[in-house]
Amino acid sequence: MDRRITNHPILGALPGRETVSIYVDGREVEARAGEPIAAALLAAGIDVFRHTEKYNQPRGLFCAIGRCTDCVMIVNGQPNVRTCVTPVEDGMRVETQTGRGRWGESR
Amino acid sequence: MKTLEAEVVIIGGGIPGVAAAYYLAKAGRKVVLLERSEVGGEASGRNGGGVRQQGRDPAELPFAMASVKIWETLDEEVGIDTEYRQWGNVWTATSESGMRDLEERWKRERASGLPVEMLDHKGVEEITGVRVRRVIGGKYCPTDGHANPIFATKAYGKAASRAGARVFEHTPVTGIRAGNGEIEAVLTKDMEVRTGTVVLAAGPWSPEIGRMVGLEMPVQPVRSQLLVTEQVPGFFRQFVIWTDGDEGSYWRPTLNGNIHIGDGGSLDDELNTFKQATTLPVIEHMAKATAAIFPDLAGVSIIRSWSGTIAATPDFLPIIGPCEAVKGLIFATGYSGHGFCLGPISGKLVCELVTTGDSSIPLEEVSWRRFESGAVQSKGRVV
Repeated sequence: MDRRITNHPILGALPGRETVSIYVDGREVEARAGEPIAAALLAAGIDVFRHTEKYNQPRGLFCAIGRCTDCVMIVNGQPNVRTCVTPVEDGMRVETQTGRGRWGESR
Repeated sequence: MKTLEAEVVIIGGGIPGVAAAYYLAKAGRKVVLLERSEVGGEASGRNGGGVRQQGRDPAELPFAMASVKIWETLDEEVGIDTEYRQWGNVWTATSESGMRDLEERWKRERASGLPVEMLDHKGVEEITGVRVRRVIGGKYCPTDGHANPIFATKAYGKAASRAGARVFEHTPVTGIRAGNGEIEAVLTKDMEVRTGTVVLAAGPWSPEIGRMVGLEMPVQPVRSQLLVTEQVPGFFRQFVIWTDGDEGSYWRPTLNGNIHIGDGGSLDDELNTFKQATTLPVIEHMAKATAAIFPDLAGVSIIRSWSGTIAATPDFLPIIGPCEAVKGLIFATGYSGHGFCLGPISGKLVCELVTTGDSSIPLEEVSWRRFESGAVQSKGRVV
């Protein structure tokens, strides 16, 4: 599934760019080099980034500018990383976070 | 001009003031408390929340030990969860000289009946349950702990009101009327509170009040800056301190999973100031110390910074007890950054002094008199 806008009525055609691979809960997802993690996830059809601590409710992208912390996930073993302002890197491991998350084994 | 009568007027709504108001009101005394801003609005509500006995000056240790006894049942007393948890205090060292200092204190504290134990690096990691770097070892006191400063101070204030004390916030004291060396009334912008007894619990603003009765008080305002991290997954439960010579930081895990980070205030910019802005050098120092000692916290976000103003005396010991020069004046101030832990016992002692004229802990070493005799030597740095 690819939800990218490849032909925008004003911005025109999506320019080509190098791609990298990130691993979301173990599944390989293709991302455009330098884009925020959140953009790659949305493009791949992933809307739920984490579940809340008290009520286990799903959360995803909200403010998209690094303020609200709704989009945090565990990235390379580090919990609470704001995916909307963190660029993808090749081989990055991204995990859906539950509550406050957990520390990964290798950081 | 409104006129009130009170048996005791307490100046200052920090924890020493509201605790005194609570115990005095409970003992049936007519109490008025005057606070220039709001209860717990200054250092009592802005501090790191440590309730600690280990590492105290020997002269202060009996007060800290007695205060912890009160903290242990304080929630029942004030009727809320103040988030006081007796989860221990780990004091760490990163140098051989720091370890020697901890060992000396350990010997002294054991002799005073404090159940402290020495830890090596592995011991610190085992007790805290987290990875620790640079630390050679530490000292652990299981009966120490921490609490929520805002909750505890406000709860004491509310309990004082419920017990019958009249607490006036946003009511700065403008003057004290005395005749023949005896206090007659405390004045505010639109009140005159007639009283024979005044408790001076105004922290760093104490010298201002002291001058109203002709006293020059050696109390200096010192800024203490703090940070708080975002909520993190399970971390240590203890209050953790690190010192090395003039450097040092401390960490308190809140019940919500945030970590409060504080600093001892060793930089010159922190001394003799009422400024409450936070500054980059101190924030950087705290953040670097945190990342260096706790590698797991290196990537964690800081979400807020703030500061409070502590009242430092030349020997960093509080001033508790009567003033011989001004009849009816009782000091409960100059806590030098230790007032949150000591607030409950301070309140009890003030109550004892008012109701019996005596105190259950000798007050000689924390007396006002020690300044008059010139025996006080300035000590290095506030911890």
